[in-house]
Amino acid sequence: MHSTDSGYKRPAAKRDALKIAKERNVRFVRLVFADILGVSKNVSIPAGELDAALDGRVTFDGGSIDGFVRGEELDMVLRPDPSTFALYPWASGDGTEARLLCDISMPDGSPFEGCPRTTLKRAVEESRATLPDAAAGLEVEFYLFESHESEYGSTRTADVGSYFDFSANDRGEDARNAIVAALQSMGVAVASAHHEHGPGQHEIDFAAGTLLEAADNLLTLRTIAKHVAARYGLDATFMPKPLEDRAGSGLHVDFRMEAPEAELDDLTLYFVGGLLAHAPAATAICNATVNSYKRLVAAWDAPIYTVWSQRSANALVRVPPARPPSHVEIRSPDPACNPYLALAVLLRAGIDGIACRTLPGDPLTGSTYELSERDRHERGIGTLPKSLRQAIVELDRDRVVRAALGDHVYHAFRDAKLAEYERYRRAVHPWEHRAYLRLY
Amino acid sequence: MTAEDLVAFAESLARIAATGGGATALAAQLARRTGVGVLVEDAQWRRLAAAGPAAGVPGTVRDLLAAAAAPTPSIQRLMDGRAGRALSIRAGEAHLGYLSIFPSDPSQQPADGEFDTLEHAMRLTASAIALELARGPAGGRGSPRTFWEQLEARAYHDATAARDDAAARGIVLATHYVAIDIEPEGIGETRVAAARAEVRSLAREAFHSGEADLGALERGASLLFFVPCNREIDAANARTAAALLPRGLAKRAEHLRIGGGVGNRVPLLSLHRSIEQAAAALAIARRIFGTGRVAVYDDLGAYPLLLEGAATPALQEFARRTLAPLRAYDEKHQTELERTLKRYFAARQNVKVAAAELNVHRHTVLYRLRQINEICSCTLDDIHDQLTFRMAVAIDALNG
Repeated sequence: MHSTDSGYKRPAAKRDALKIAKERNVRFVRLVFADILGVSKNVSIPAGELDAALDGRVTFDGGSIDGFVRGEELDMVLRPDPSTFALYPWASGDGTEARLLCDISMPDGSPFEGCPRTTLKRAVEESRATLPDAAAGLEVEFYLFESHESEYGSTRTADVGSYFDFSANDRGEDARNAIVAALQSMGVAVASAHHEHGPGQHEIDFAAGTLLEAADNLLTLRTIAKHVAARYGLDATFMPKPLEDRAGSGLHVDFRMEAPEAELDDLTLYFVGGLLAHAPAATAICNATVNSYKRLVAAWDAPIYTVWSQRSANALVRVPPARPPSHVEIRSPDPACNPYLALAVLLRAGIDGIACRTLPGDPLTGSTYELSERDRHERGIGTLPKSLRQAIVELDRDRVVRAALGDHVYHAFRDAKLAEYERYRRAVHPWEHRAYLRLY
Repeated sequence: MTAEDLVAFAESLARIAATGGGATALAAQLARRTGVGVLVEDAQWRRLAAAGPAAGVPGTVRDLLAAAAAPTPSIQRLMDGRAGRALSIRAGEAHLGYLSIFPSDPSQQPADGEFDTLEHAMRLTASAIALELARGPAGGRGSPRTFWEQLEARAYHDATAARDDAAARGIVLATHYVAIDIEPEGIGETRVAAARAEVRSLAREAFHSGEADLGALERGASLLFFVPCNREIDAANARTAAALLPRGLAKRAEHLRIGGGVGNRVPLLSLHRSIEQAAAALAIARRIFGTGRVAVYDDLGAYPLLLEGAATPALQEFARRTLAPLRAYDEKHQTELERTLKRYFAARQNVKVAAAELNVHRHTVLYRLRQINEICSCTLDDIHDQLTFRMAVAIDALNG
């Protein structure tokens, strides 16, 4: 077993998971996996079936899950990762409940090409020769709104706090602390948490870990935050841009690269070069909803150009000034993405930069928002896609990002997102009513 | 020389040039006919040829010219009472190097005016060498190498002519270029060719551009690369790639070290400016920062200005006067105050780092700095005194 900062000991093997389940009187275990859109799905089993589940003997109907449909191959096998066994910090009616994050395999035991967790594992494995110990920390922003019975919830906030504010009578703060405590009890290493720019907006930062741990952590946070917030009469949302006139919620990914000090400068530069070169295509994965593109505008320090910097707060990639460079932060993803796919494409983009020795140009100083078109041309700075449709066009063109996803995920994701964009395009939005209904 | 002698001399030069004799053969002919020592250097002060009595011929005339930074078409006298004359080798407006002559016996001061009689012979020889240099060792038109040499020599009067010529030779040109001057370091004569081949191969990979052809020339021990940079980002990447070159090379061949300089991004016809900047950056990098470093001209702050003026008597005198008390003290007491001061500055005034480099305790460095303050009647913490000493140290280093 290995431990986290909270003292929680993660089970490393099947034997440990079974032992903990018995000691803590676990009644049900949720076998959790992510669909192709990054949404958590689960199959709940009684604790007595845990042994069989850990042996990979639990199947489910893949045909009913987004992106999993594959003709006659509908019976998928869940392959739990024993190291992710954790107790939920709340008691269900009949006793303690636990969860296991799972990979998905085919009935014959071979890995399922459409499994996002397997896609990330493959990307990490393929990158091992270049970056043997790649790690990442995530900074996740989200909003806590007042709970509302309506179909879509409300956007009324429970506080008026701002960046790093400390408020004694803030339900949002209490809920955020409870979320952090819940995460820690499940073995998730939280580095810090604070109030963000917008009223009701918060940020939780995960300590750096393996890329798989980072993606697992985000999946866990999205589930835990909603459960805990509900207890405080709040709704947690990871929607990228819930309020038009407030900051959107981002997911900053801090890549940490282990390499001999003399090589770190070059590796970091090339990694940044790769991230910038493939950023337009990676946007389709990292900003995967139509709403994501309402965050990627020239406001609230959201990145809009493929540019890197050491200090600018709104550059796409930031490498804080240090010798040797300590980490590379990419700031465009949002927390509604599928973290497995996002980390897979970002990693492969960076690795491609190292392989092709792609240089990123000089780091930018100042705000990227003030760059003229001529400046951008001279500095070779591109623009991030402005819509999901445009991002998918970029994805179609980029062989590196497509290869990181694999054919199955690429096609399934593309089909799902084109359909989503088409539904959005056909919908008549409230803004259109306000602008045109009486005018014409 | 009589008029007949001059005609015969001109004909002999033409014969040598026509049969493929280069700068060395032309210099030798001048030495044979006049009995003086002859030195030919290129625009970067690299020795191209030497002939005649070697005793009086210096390594370079760079430090012996009053206006080294601005070559003129007229014959120049040498400074410091040194007997001899120097003449800029020119092709049109372009300065390609210097042809210098020296007395056969340096201990004998030649009669005044003796050299002046050789002016016509010097001019004829310089013209013949200029033709050779402008044409290039590949000979004749048609080779890509000749194009880059002509560009360097400012032989094209407008961009259209250069583009037409390049197109005829199958060269794809960019609108702007960055010149990068790379020189293998610490390599024995026998391994220079192999080292150059290794550098050339790596540099071609590092500076490769999909948009236009990379230019390359050999200049003495140096390799000059002209990196196409249509946009500013291409120049930024060329600078970064050049800075990474020493490490990349060390991975390929551990024994191989290089130094280099990178000029600014300039329009095609101003390539000579970038070449001069690259050469200056290389010289500064080597003299100020030591070996194994590729320096970017634009990142060198005030050093290029100091380099331009470093050879002028006023600056040399300033550096000598400022450091003289330390040198005198060091000589008398066998101390290392001047070296300590230089290490202290090089270590960005970090006493601990300077002490480690000098292999002494940091208290020793502090003690020596106090001594320097006393001997020179200065306060190294004072920014004005610091400026004086930093400039003196820099000028001293740039003068080699």
